[in-house]
Formats: sequence, C-alpha cells, structure tokens
Amino acid sequence: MQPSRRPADTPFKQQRLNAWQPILTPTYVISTFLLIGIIFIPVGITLLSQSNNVAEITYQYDGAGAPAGCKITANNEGKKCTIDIVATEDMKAPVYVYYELSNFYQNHRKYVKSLSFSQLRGEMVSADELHEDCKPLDKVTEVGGAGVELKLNPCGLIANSMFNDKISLPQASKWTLDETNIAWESDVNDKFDNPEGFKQEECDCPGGAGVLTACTSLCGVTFDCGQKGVYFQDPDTLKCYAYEYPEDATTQYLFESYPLIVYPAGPSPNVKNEHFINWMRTAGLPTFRKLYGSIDTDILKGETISFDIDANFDVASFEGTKAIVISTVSWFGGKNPFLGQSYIAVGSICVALAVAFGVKHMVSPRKLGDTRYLVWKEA
Amino acid sequence: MGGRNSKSKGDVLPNSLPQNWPNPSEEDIKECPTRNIIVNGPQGYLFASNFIRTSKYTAWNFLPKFLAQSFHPRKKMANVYFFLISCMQMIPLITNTYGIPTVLMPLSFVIFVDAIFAALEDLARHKADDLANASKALIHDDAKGSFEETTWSNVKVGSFIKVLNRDVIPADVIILAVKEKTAIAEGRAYVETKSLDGETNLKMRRALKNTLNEIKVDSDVKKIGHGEIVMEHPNKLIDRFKGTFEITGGEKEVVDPTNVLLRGCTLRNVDWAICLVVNTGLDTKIMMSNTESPVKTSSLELRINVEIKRVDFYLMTVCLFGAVGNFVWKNQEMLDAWYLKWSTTDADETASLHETDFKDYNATGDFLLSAIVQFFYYFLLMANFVPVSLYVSMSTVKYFQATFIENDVNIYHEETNTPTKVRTMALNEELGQISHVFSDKTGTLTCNIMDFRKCTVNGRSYGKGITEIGKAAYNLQGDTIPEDILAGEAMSREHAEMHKQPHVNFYDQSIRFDLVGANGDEQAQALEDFFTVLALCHSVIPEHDEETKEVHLSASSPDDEALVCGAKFFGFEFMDRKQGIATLRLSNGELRSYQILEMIEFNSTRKRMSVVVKVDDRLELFSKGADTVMIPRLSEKINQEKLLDDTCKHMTAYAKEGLRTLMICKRTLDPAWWEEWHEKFHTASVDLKEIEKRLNGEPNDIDLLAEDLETDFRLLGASAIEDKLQEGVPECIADLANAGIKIWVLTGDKVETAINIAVACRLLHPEEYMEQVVIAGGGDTNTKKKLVEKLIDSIRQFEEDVKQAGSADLVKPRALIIDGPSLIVAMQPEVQPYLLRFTQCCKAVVGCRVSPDQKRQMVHMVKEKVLGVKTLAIGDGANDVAMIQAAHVGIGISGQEGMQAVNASDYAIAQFRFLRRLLLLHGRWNYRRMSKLVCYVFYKNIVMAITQFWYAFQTGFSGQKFYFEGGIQLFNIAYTCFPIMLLGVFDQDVEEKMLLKYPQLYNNGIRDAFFNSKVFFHWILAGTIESLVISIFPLYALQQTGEPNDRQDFLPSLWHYGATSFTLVVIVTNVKLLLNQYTFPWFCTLCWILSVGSWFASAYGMTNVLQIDFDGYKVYEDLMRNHSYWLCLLVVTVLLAMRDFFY
Repeated sequence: MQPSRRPADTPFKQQRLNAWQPILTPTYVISTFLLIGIIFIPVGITLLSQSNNVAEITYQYDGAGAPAGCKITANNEGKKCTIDIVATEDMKAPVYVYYELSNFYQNHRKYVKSLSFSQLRGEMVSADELHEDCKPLDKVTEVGGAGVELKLNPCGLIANSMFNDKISLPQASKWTLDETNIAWESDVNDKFDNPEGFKQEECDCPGGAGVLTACTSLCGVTFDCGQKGVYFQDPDTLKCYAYEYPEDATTQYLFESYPLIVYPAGPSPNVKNEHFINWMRTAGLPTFRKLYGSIDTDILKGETISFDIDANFDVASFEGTKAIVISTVSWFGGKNPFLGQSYIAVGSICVALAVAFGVKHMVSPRKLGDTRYLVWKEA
Repeated sequence: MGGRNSKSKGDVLPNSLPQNWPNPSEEDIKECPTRNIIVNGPQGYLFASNFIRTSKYTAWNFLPKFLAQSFHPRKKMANVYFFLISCMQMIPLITNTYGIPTVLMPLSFVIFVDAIFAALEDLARHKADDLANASKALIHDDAKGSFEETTWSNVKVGSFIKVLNRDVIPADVIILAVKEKTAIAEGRAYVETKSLDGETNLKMRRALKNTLNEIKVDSDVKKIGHGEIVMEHPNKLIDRFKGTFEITGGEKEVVDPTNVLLRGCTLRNVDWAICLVVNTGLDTKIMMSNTESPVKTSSLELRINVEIKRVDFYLMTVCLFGAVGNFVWKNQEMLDAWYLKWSTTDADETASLHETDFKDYNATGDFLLSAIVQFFYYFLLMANFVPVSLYVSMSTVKYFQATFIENDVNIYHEETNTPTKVRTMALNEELGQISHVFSDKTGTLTCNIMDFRKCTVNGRSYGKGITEIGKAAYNLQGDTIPEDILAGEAMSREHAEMHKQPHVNFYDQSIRFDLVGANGDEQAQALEDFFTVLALCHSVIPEHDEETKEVHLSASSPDDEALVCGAKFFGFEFMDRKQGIATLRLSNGELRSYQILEMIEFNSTRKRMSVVVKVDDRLELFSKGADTVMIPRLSEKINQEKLLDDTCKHMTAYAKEGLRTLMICKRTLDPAWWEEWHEKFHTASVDLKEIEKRLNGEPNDIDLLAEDLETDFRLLGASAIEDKLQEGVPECIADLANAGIKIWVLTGDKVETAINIAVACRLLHPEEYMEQVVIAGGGDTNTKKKLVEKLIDSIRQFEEDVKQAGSADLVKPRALIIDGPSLIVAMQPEVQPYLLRFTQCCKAVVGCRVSPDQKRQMVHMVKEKVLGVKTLAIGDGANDVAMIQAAHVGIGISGQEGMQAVNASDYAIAQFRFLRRLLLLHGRWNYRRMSKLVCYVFYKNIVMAITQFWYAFQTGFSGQKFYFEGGIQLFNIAYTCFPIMLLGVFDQDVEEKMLLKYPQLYNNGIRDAFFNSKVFFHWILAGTIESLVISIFPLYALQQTGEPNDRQDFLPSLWHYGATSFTLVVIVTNVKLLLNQYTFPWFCTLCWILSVGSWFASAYGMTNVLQIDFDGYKVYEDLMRNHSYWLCLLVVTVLLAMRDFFY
C-alpha cells in the first residue's frame, strides 16, 4: 500500500489563512476622506504661512530686462559694477545670498556627464580616460602660448563653465559676506581633492621684499618652484603660501582658469573651493540658485545693501538671466508656497468628495454584499 | 540487404538502421528494408546500446547548450530583446549607464532561475537513467552456459536473457520459452503494461512455438542452434510487431505482438521466461514513443504578446517624440549655449569655454544624426517598458499556484489516494476563463465501475429497481415513478445484500427460482445457456493468488468483468482458462470444463466477441455484442421474432435507464463445416499481409471469415450493466452551467442513453424547461441541405423567441443532441457555420456515438471558429487523448481506464466533481491574480520609465536620467517584486464560500473581464498620468527647500529631484498594489513593509558610498533631512491613491 498522498489540511495549504480583509464600506471611505481633509487643510495653511514668513528679494542684474549697469556681452569681460538692494521687510540673520541663473541647462545630459570622478578625487588620470570622461572638453590651448595644449584639471563642461562673477560687499559695508562653509562637509572632505603631489605651506609675508625671501627660501628645498606659481597671497586673509602642483607646466588648473574666484593655495585651494563644489552639484531645473554666502547681521526694512559685482559670466548669448537673491529661511528652507497650496487643494478635494459621496450614499444606499449585483447578462 | 552486409572496413559493422534515421527517405529504407538479428552467432550490424540517456545535458555541455536554448530567437523573444538592450548599453554614444550593461543583471537572474529549473529537471532524468541503466538483468553467458547477473546497460541485441516473475523487462524481447506455474507447457506468459499504457490488467503473451519445447533449462539456448530474425525497423507503435524467426534448417515462424515483451513491462504469473533481445536502448518502443505533448500557452499569455506590441509602439512613439524634441529644441534654443560646446571639430576642442565664441557649429546634418542617436538613447532609458521581471514573476507565481492546487485537500480523492496533479502550470489562469467544457461520458461523468444490473432472457426480464438515470428519465417526462418499481427494489434488496458481490447490483429473486425450473424447463435451459455464455465469452484473465487460493480477475474491459461477476452471482463461476480449457464452478460445487477452440476478440468495428466451445460433443458458438450488429445476424430459420421483439423492448427500457446493453446469442456449429472454416481462418490469421490490412482497418480475410462464422444466431437474451454516475456530477454540472459555461457531452452511447445520462447530470432539463433539438438517426437530416434547413430553422426560432421575450435569459433554453453520423455531415464546411451558430444558442450540446477523432474535431471547430472561446476537454481514456490535446485546457481523470488521458492532460483530477472547485475557485482566483500581476508589472515599469521622459521636458530633451542607477536596477528585484508575487499567489478577492455559492462570479473570466485591452489600457493610462504627477510635482514642491543647517547649500539638485520622484514611484506603485489587494495575511503586510523599506535603506546605503554613486553621494542623507521631501511624498501619495480608493 502506498503512503497516503492526502495533502495536509493546514490553513496555509488550504488557503484559509487568517487575513485582514478591509471592506471599503461607504462609511469607511467617507470618514477616511474627511479625516484626510481635516488633517491636510491645516497642514497646508501652516506650510503656506511658513513660506510667507520667508523674506526674499531677487535682483536681476543681467539678461533681458536687467538694468544696463552690470550687463556683459562676452565671457570674462571683467566689468565691475554695483547693485543696490532695498530691503522691503525685516530680514533676520542669517540672510542667505544666492546667485540665480535662468535658461541655463545644468541638467543637460551632455553637461552632466562631462566630468571625471577620479580626477576630482585627486587621482592622476590618463589623458585617454579624461578624453573619454570629459568629452567634449578635456584640453585647452594655452592662452597667449604658442599653441601649446594644456590638460584641464578638472576637465569637463561643468567644471569649465563655472559661474565666475565675483560677488562681494564693499569694504565700507555694514554687513559682511561669509563665503565659507557653504559647501557640504562630505563633499569637501570626500568628493573633491587636489591632485596627488599638490602641497602648500604657509610662509611669512610681512610685506615688501621680505615676502619673496620667506617664501622663495622654500624653493628648491621642499618645493620645486618652477616657472609658474611661486607663492600666493590670499587676498582675503592676506596670508602667504608656497605651493606646488604636479605636472604644472602641461596642465591648466582650476585656479588658473578662474583666478578671481579660485585660489591656488589657502584653506580651500583649487578644487576644494566651495563655490566650485556647489557648482559641481548640478541643478535639476534650468532656472536654479546656488548659495554664494551668508550675512550674519539682520537687514532691516528700508535699509539698502550694496553688492560689488565683477561680471565675467555671459548669459546674454543663450538668453539667460543672472540675479542675486537674498533670503531668510523657514524650517523647510526657502520660500515655496507650492507645497502649502497643494496640501490645501488635496485636502479640499477630499472633503468635497466625502460630501458628494455622503450625499449619494444617503440618497441611494447600496447594501453591502447585495447579490443582485452578481447577476450577469449574456451579451 | 545488398552491399550493406560486406565488412570491408575492418571490424566496423554497418549500422542496423537505415540512413538518415529517424527520418529515412524511401530510398534509405529500400537499401535497408529490415532489421536482421543473428541468433547464436556474431551480429552483422551495429545496434544501439541499451545504455540510455534521456537527460538533455551533461555537466560539460550544460552551459553552452542551455544558453543556446535560452537565446533562441523565436522561442525566447524576450531574452533576446533584453540581450540586445544590454549590448546597446555598451555603446558609448547612447549609453545611460556609463557603458555598463546593467540589464544583464536582471536578465542573468531570469536565465539563472530558468537554468536551475532546467538543471533540477535534468537531474531527475539523470537519476532515472542511472537507475534504469544499473538495474539488474540476467544475460546468458556463452562460456559458462548459464545466465549471469549484469546491468541493463550491458544487454545487447541478440543476447539471451532470463526474466524472472515480477521482473521489469530491460529491452524489447521475443519470448523463446517460459516456465509456467502449471505443469503443462503452453508457452503462456502474462505481462503488466502499466508503465507503457497505464492499463493495469494483465495481458497474455506466448512463447514462440518452435523454441517453446526446445528450451527447458538454461543451457538449452545454445542447442537451438544458429538462426536469424528478420523484423521491421524500430517504431513507436506499442501494439504492433512484424517479424519472422527462423532456425537454420527449421520452419520459419511469424513473430507477432503477442510474442514480444516490451521494455518497461513487468512479467507476471510465470516462474521465468527466456527471451531474445531484439530492440535495445533508443530503439525500444517505449523510448521511441516518448514524445513531448504540444506546448500550450494560456490565452492571457497570448494576450500579453499582443499588448507587448502595443506597449512597444507606445515606447517607440515616446522615443520618437523625445528625439524630435531634442532635434528641434537643440536647433532653436540650445545653439547659443556656449557651456554645452556643440562644436566637435578639432580646432574647437582645445578651446576653453569662456574664451571662445562658438558660433560656427556644424551643419544641421550632424544634428539629424544625433537625433537618431538620441532616439536609441531614449529607447535605452525606457527599455523597462517591457519588463524583464514579468516572465520570472509569472512562472514563479504559477509554480506556487500549482502547489496550492495540488495541496487542496478538497480535490483529493480519499478512496483512490489521488491528489490533483498540475502538469501544465502555465494554464492556471486559463482555468478561470473556460467557456466550453467538452466532457467524455464513461469514466468521466460515470464511475466506469460496471455493475451487472438487469438481464432479459428468453423474453423475460429480470432485475428490479431503477437507476438514478432512470429516475431522471421519469422526471424528464414529468411522470412519477411507479410504486411497484420502488417496492420491488426494496423487496429484493435484502436478498441482494445476502449475496453481495462486487460488480453486481441485482435485485430479483425470481431468477433463481426460474433457474431451477420454476417457469418451465425451457426457461431454465435458456438461463443456463445465457449465463454459460457470459461465463465463457470474455477476455478476462484469472490470476491465482497462491496464498489465499483466491481468483482475482484481471480484465481490460470493465463490462467483461461485470458480466463474468454476474455469471458468478448466479452460480456460473469462471475459474480458469488453461490450454484451451475453461473451467466453471457451478453453484453445487461441480467443476465443469469446456474446450475453447477459437476466440475472436472484441474491437470497436466488430462490436462483438465470439468463442467457439466444445460442449460435450457439440460445437457451440457463443457471442455477445451490440444490438445493431447482432440483430442482422440472427437466424431466420428459426422463429424468434416474438423473442426479438420482447428483448428489444426490454433493451430500450434498459437504455432509458442509462444501462449498457449487450445482446447474447449462440449458434450450434456443424463439425464438418467448422473444420473447413477453421483451417481457412488459421491460414488467414497467420498471414502477415492480412494482419497488416486488419491493423490498418482495411477489409481483410480474417474479418470476412469471422463474419461467416458469426451468423445464424439464436437469441438468448440481453444483459444490462449500469455505469453509475460519479458522486456530485449533477451538482457540478449545474454549477458550471450557472457559471455561464457551455457543456458539451461527447459519448459513444446511443442517443437514448446519452439523453438520459445528460438528464441525470442535470445538463438537459425536461421539455417544458428546455427545448431539445435532436439531430440523429439519419432520416431527415442525412443530407447537407436538410441539415442546414433544420439548423437555420432552429436558429430563426430561437432568435424570434429572443425578440419576443426581450432577453436571451428569458427564453426557454435550447439543447442540441446530435449523433456521430449526422456530425460527419454537419462538420462539412458548408454546414459547419450553421452548426456553430446554433450551438452558440444552446446551453448544452450532447454528441452521441461520436468517435475519438470526432471529439477532437468538435473541440477544434469550436476553438478555431468561435471568437474568444476557451475550451476545456475532460476525459479519462485513450479515446479522449486527441480531444484533451486539442483543447485549450486538457483534463484527465486519473481513474480506471489507464494513464493515457492523464499523460496527455494539463491537469489530472480524480473525480469530475473536482472540476467545480478547480474552475470556480482556483481558476477564477488565479485568473484574477495573473491579470493583476501582468497589468501591475507593466504599470509599475511604465510609471518608473516614463517619469524620466517627463523630466526630459526640463532638460532640453537631452534625456538626462535623474534616478540613482542602483535604484533602477533594484526596482524590479527588490522594491516592487515580492508584494505583487504574493498577491499573485495568495490574494482572494472573493472568499471560497462565496465563489462556490455564486458560480455566476466565474463569468468574469469568460468575458475576459480582468484582462483585456481596455483594462490593460486603463492601467497604462493610469501609469502615464501618475508618472506625470510624480515627475512634475517634486520639481515645484522641492524648489528652494531644504534643511538650512550650518548654512551649507541646502538647495535641491538634479539628484534630489530624482530621488524624490523615485521614492514616489516606489510608494505609489506599492500603494496601488494595496488598493488592488483584498486579503492581507501577516506575511504579505510584512513583505510590503520590507519592500518599501528596502528602498529607503538601500537609497541611504548606496548614496553613502562614494564608489557606488559619485553624483548622488550623500544626496539621500541630505534629502531625508528635508521636511518638504516627506510632505511631498505624503501629498502626492494621497492624491494619486485617492482615485483608486474612491472606486
């Protein structure tokens, strides 16, 4: 006799497991909708008021519709100008200063992929690999040189189209613009590093001829002071540094492309520059802001804050605009009424549906489990 | 033989098989017409080894062979498609994955899973092969002169083997000699062929006459001397064998199928048999007949293929739109974007962006080229439109569905210990869409356990009571069952219980009194004759159990068994049949012997069986057969018209009760005539040509001679056997009909029997409830024209009724009863459309007297010609195989008649009533589950893929992706994979109780309600709209937001938007699943939480490793700190779920 092949009579095998079986009764549906409405509408109102509390002023200084003062027509024009922004309401510190570009497609596929991870992390990458990664921009002809080709470090479209308008507050300004700590710590620490072989050392620079001696004394000892950089004095801190970059003669480094913004040495040398790091995180929309710095003192209503602009970044050619935005923050960031509005809208729809459904249910209730609905008609 | 015999090339023997085997041309066969085997000498040819390998792969060739199959361009379209995609991903120009073929990962997973299944399957085959090859066999060792034990794989053509009782035969062999259990050597052996055809009854085989008496002990095999066997080439026909055996100098003897034992059969009822091996290994009949049944695909899967084409078209449109957008936008807007450096000439390549004016870009021609490139780029970006995971999910889910069907205790048959078997899990969902059921009758609707119920002898009917079918017949006519019938049954019941015997269900004592002369001697003699015929004229084989001394009857026909049991019941017990002597034991214990001189067996064309018996000194011919063939053969010399009249009347009454009737006759033969006839008959029956003709159904001398013998009959009476309805059949049929399934019963029975059984099954209803259109019996419907007229008439009447009543539901339902001969006419192309149209008006169709091929034709006709039908054929016997294979779903009843039907079927159930649960419950559940699964898998991939397309509107149609690549790859494997599969296995939209209570719920499946173009389109549309919201909403909601800690730049980047959209994709698709799910066992809920949670965990994990995602490094950590992110998730989820929730 063969063993019994009777299947086990367990709830699992017989598909009779205890299971939660929610039944969408009209009452259940109506109350759910009502509940959502009751929660969403107040949340939306809160969000909207939060957004409205944010003080934000945008000043467009280039592109169609901007005043002529700061308009430029070509890259690296170096036009200097000043813009004055009048606070329309009190702005509590910290006040964030952004630059805003429009019609600039930082999210274009060709643009986004044009970079070399390895190079940005400080590795020395072969020219072939750079060519592949950074297409269509990995080399450059030396400006004024005899047609010598220089490797770009960092290469690629993103790095070499960096926003290079210099924004600053006049010396006499009541406020100070803090441009440090504007990039993510993780980016500064892990993502970007100067090439292997880069070194720098602070040296005395009491001014005058002594500067040269103090820094040049390092030459030939610990630094190979070649034809290029010998030493660098940070215009902000006025500190002096001796520095050395590998393959300097055949490479164009970031600080060489953007001397006004990026310094070869100092606390954030070359690719450690925080404006650069922020630029490298590609924006999601063709109109975008990036943080430039922050102001630590309140700006009161009616006060005028002036910014000195050294305009180098051409937007006119692609019909874009440039603007400075100063803004305070709420607990969810900058000014954005959309989220609050959408909560109110969705909440209202829910309530409306609940009411409509409730009325229908009162007028013609459908009994649950009514088997009349099971009858089918043959076509 | 010709030149093939020459051994010119050293020791290499020519192959025994013709060239180009297994498909030799006529010339090849002409060159090598026969298979020649030398007895007791070296073979002249090379034969196949008996070492078999049914496995497809070895450890070495598995990989290449399996891969070649997995990328078969036609059979595995999807695999090839994804392989091409992965190739395209490596083209730098269009890649969106940095040249890494990421699709390869899921694709290899799919193939890996397939490979595991294939390997497991093959491993089982390897094991079976090893087991078979290593089985023990006894081969004659020429040197020792005795039989030595060796393995099956060493068995060679031409060797002698000794098979012991109950041993399995290792190759196709010819029986030379047997040692029987009895002292007298007759050369009879018995064989069980269960593994070959599934039939459990024993079949008789004989040793060759020439060698039977030559071989008595092992060493005798050498003494028979040198000889040769000339036989046909190997073939798969298991009941055919053609060959001759000749000892040099001896008489040539014909070898027929009864001299042959086939590999896989079991020897029974003898001590041993010494045999000569003729076919080995792949040449054996069992191996030759191992063919794969046709691969069936469910309608849902066919529908998917259609939908895939549409989705592909959609994909192409989207890609084209993207490419054109890219082209236009680039030319109109982007040419001035110096930061994109459009020029690619060498001179420009080295120019710094800020310093050079890029006005002189290349001509538009390059842009056109780039637009084409862009097209393929989009194609890659959205390759997920056709989901890789679909096929894996589907087969995994089907596997588990099948497991649950097999484990359903309610469709397990306790008495026979048979659970339901799923043989084609691909059709699980098809079970939920069946519109037509084609059912066999015998063994399917009925038990195929025959009971001797009634008989009429010499014009007197015996047997009281009424069958279920008989009761139904009364109901059909609206009559009440006469009291006396019920009373008679009750009276006799006591008597019946006393003499209870299997296969007998007879309530009537009077027959016993009549046997001893209560109604005159003539009646007593007639009864005695009648039962003697029953006890002798049959092909039942008695098997003697040595321990209990009991006789076990082994019959190939349950009818025969019932008749023999009936005879025993009345004191004519069949004991034995040896050496042409049959022994009966009478009720007084006396043993009576009869010499059986000839036996002409039953077959479906003859429809009768005869034996010639020597009783004392008389020669008697005993016959039984169908009335249609027996009545014309009755003698006209004696007056038996009244008797015939009475008998026919009784037989009609029996048929109405659904009983199977056979007419019993005898004839006394003239010894001289007999001698002459017998000689002729013997010559004909050993003539190979005549045998061949007979096998092919051509006119032949054997049948003609038989006709000469079987004539001039004297009528004795008729027997009536009941084939009981299976339990629960009427209820099952009623439920299936309520479910909207049309039921066709196809049977070989007479019209009356078929109608009555259909009524008993509640397939047909009394006239006042159902209009029956009968097309049978030739007469007015035997010409095409008349048949068409009748059909048109019926259709018109039905349509008028419908018009009058207003709805098809209110009209009296129609039923068609049609018989085989009419069907031949009705199936002709001119008539067929009308037949089909009318059958569509009918609730039920009953086909009577139909042949197996007509069954197939009918299934085929409905399947091919009626739009949108899904046919199911259910049967239990070899005659249903054609129909089972032709239908969309074939169901075998694993019951009495053997295994052929089961082996050809897709599902095997033990009882017809299980069909109800299989279709209404499992079928409907699985249909809905698969529909949801397929729609959902497409939906979720479209939501995921097309979101990226909407984003292209923000990126100048450049097609920049904004998802984390890791997320895309894990989407179908982790985030959305398991909840839908659990839904596919476990979800129950309507619970068991309700489904069985309201069969109408099944109608959804028949109408394709859960998966059709409309439903599919809705899902795709929903996916498209939802993806639009998912893509755009975050772009507005997240702008300028972030967590302003430490004054770092908190503004969202490209990757923030992407991660938000992707989170929404994961949540919205998973919530969508919840809204489509009805039952939530704890593990489904857990799995759901884990799936959604895995996205958050993996997103956090992946973006925390610089090496995995440079672009997205720490982005997700930053995003999680952003309150707007969470608020955005909530509002979008609610917004998108609202619609589904509301319905």
